Amino acid sequence: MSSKAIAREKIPDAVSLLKAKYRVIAPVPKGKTFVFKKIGNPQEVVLDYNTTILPLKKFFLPPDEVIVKYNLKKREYQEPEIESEPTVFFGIHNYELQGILRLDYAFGTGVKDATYLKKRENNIFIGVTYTPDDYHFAESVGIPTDLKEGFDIFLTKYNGHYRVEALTDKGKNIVSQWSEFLEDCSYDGDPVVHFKNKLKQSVAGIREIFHGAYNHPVWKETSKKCYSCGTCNLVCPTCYCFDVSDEVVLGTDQGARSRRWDSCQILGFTEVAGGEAFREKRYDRVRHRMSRKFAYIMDDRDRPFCVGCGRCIRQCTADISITDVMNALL
Amino acid sequence: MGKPKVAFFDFTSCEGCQLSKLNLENDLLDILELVDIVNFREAISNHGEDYEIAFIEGSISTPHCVERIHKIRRQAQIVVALGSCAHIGGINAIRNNMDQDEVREAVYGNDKYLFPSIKAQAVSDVVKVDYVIPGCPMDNQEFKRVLSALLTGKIPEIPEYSVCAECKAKENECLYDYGVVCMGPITRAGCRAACPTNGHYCYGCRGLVPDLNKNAAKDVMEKYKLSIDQIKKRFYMFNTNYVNMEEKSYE
Repeated sequence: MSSKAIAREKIPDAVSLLKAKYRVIAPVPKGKTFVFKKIGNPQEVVLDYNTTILPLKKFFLPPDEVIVKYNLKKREYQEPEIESEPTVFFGIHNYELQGILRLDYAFGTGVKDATYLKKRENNIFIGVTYTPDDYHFAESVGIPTDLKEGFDIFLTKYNGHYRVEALTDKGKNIVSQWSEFLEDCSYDGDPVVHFKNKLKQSVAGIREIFHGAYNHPVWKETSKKCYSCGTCNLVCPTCYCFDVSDEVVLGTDQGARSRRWDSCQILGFTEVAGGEAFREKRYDRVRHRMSRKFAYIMDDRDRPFCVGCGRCIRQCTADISITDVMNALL
Repeated sequence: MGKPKVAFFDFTSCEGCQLSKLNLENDLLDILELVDIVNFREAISNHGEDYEIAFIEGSISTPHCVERIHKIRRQAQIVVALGSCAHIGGINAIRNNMDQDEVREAVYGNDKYLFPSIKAQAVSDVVKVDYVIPGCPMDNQEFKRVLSALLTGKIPEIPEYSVCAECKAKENECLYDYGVVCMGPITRAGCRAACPTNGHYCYGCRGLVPDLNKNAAKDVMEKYKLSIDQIKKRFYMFNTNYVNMEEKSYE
């Protein structure tokens, strides 16, 4: 089969067709930036975007989520029903999906997180190439722009067109329904991409760097600039820590236990009964975050828990850069 | 065991935090099933002196306030500070940076000697406060959560993370991206980022986060072209009592 392409102006038609069968999530503009959103009007979809405020994790691990409801008097509990509506994630950058694959590892190994895994059923991912901005550094963490792992369909941009590659059976099925929008593709290369932001060294062996770095001055230097707002964690595609709290509705026996995104940069994160906090110093917390990304946890292919999306740098009001911190260590 | 007896008291404040309780129309009857309100100047004419839970609105700003709050503390088993003025001194504390004699003169003129005042303080600066419901105005949903926790024997949880966490959860655009200096990164959350969500910078009404990095905050604000005086004003709006802006490290 010769390769196929879709013209940019046909994208809304392709999305409309998907909408008939699936919930479609795609990037849309929000002010100066972008967000992933359930698509109402297919014209809203943008494929040229740097990145969204929040990563896709918000659909699988919402910022605030009830995990069990209970009745104190009857001593009964019930888990909320989770829908796994067939969903197409359209126009997704590859580091984004790599983030989801890391979360799959975190929630799917050991004690499995049923709430998360249920939402991961019936997902279809349609990827798109991107041009790195000043913050992306995905290539440095082993995610070159042509990595298509996990995608059902991948769109490669060229001359106002997107080359359409179906990579799975689900993807082929969708592409066959798109046939009326497709034309023959004249482009068979991969775009040449330059990352302005990068790590000095490749990820191989990065874990070892941390062995001798516990007392490195960069932790204290960075912590002087940090006011622990937690943004870096909250916008990170691979940060999944949450806090659990109970709430009983005033005057009733009905209660709910919820989980809410938490951040290891916040003092209370390690606070335990009695008021002891294990990472009381800000630099302990700065070091913890970096170690968590590059040393403590790797997925089953030994890849770091950082996908190089650059959100933590882009959205840090204090201008702290994960690549600057890493490059000080390397 | 009978219903817990609850009292509301006002100190130096606009009294809006208490008054907002009367806006809980859908819950008031439920609340009255759970507690007896024995003292609530704005709502009932009784002035019962026998109560277990005291909700305090307003800052402590006169010698008479000090006397009254001690009396309340001796009676109440649980004291809850309601709103910014009681929690942190709030807007009242702006005057703490001024000459106190000038302040009295501005307000009372020649009668200033008849109205002695002290610096506006949080209730917890004077007596032990068990729990707080921050904010200006305080949030009625949070009031219900705190009351529910107290009545079920739980410790009420007030967020200690910053407003940024709530802004991010809502996926708001950051006001800093528009060059607007916001107190959100260093202000205690719990308001569901009400101001930034509606396009205004955070004023810091819920108080500063517990482990404030003042110098980092100052550096960021300076980077966004706020002058030292403007930065001070941002902090002083609600948090005069908690930041010593004259410290050497600052200037």
